[in-house]
Amino acid sequence: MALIDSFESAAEVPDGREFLDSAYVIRDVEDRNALDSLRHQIVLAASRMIGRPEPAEDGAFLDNLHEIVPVDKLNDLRLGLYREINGAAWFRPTYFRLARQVVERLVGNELAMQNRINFSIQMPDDRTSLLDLHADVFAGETPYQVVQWLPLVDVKRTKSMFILERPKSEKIVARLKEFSKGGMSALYEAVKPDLVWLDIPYGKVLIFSPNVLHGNVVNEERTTRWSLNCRYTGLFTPYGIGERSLGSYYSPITARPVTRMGIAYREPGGFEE
Amino acid sequence: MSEREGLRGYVTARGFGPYVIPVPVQSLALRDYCARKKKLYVLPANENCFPHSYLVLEGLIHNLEGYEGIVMCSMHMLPQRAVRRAAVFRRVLDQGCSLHLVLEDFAVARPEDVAKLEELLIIDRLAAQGPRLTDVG
Repeated sequence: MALIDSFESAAEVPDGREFLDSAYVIRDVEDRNALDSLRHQIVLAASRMIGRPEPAEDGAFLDNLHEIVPVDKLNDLRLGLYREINGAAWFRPTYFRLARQVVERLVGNELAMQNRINFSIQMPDDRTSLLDLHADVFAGETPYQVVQWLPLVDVKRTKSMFILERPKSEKIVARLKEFSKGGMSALYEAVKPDLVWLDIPYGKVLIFSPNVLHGNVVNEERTTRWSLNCRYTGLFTPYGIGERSLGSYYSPITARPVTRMGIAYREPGGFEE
Repeated sequence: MSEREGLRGYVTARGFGPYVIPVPVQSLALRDYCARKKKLYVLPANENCFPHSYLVLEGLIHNLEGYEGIVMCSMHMLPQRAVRRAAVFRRVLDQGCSLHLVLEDFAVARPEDVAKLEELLIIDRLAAQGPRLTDVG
């Protein structure tokens, strides 16, 4: 019998279940050549900005950036890359290609994507690039979004990021007011034993809900962390505060033909009673 | 004691006082302030947007080891209640740090600075309760 009793396809179920259980999934990138090319362009731009020749090996160059760039120049480099690479027409489409199927399975196929992809560079022992424990919704962002978080080098332990998985995060967020006195530091101490440090080799991508608590600490590994992050939300879901709205923060990337036809529709008028 | 370097940014998506300033614009202001004062700018922590929550600020001042202090856009981002504000100043100063306010171009680095800022806040609050320019004439 060819009758079907579920609206979910077999491909959707594992991603959805894992995501709802933990608030994240880690998958192989969907186009390894595209990842390598994207990383190479970033390496070329970075080496040019710091006045170095093209390196022999992209991964080693990124891992060892702290040996050639002082920490007080790091933010200038990061912002320079952010501006230049985000200005390239290929950047966002290539980035999306790396996780398109899993993002569409988790979010939907009519998407809005963050206008600019963020760069994070964390040298060993650097305290200037920290992103303490937080949830993006706390800052007024939409709860209907996911983050595509892409390491450009192998990351693990303090060179990576931490996340508090879904049931635990939701339970403690419900008690947030109890931490008014010690603030997020006290909250961090409370959740520390339960944090999951994500081990993500280069070639894999993390998709997570920033509704759950997450962040990073000082990188105590011996090499520099490079990662990119970018948000997606369903095109027709509520957006967050004004500065995170469609246009200033998000833009539509996959509006479907029926949506375009709907937008183009004009109701006939001019009738009189 | 370890060497202190840099001002940790503090931003919020909430409105504060008479202002509603997008976070990226606040970050630009903080970066510019640090450049003008020749201080290392440390990426900001973003306060929670729900009203009356200062969880991020409270966490930030809990341990300022290694930093010279905190930089934020305005005095209006501080807690509204004087007692709570005083605890923030005390915690910052007790650690040998300072609190920098960009729009007021004011740094709280000593107890005397706290008194000056408190006076400014009180006058500002009183002035806000008085007649508006449009009420006159």
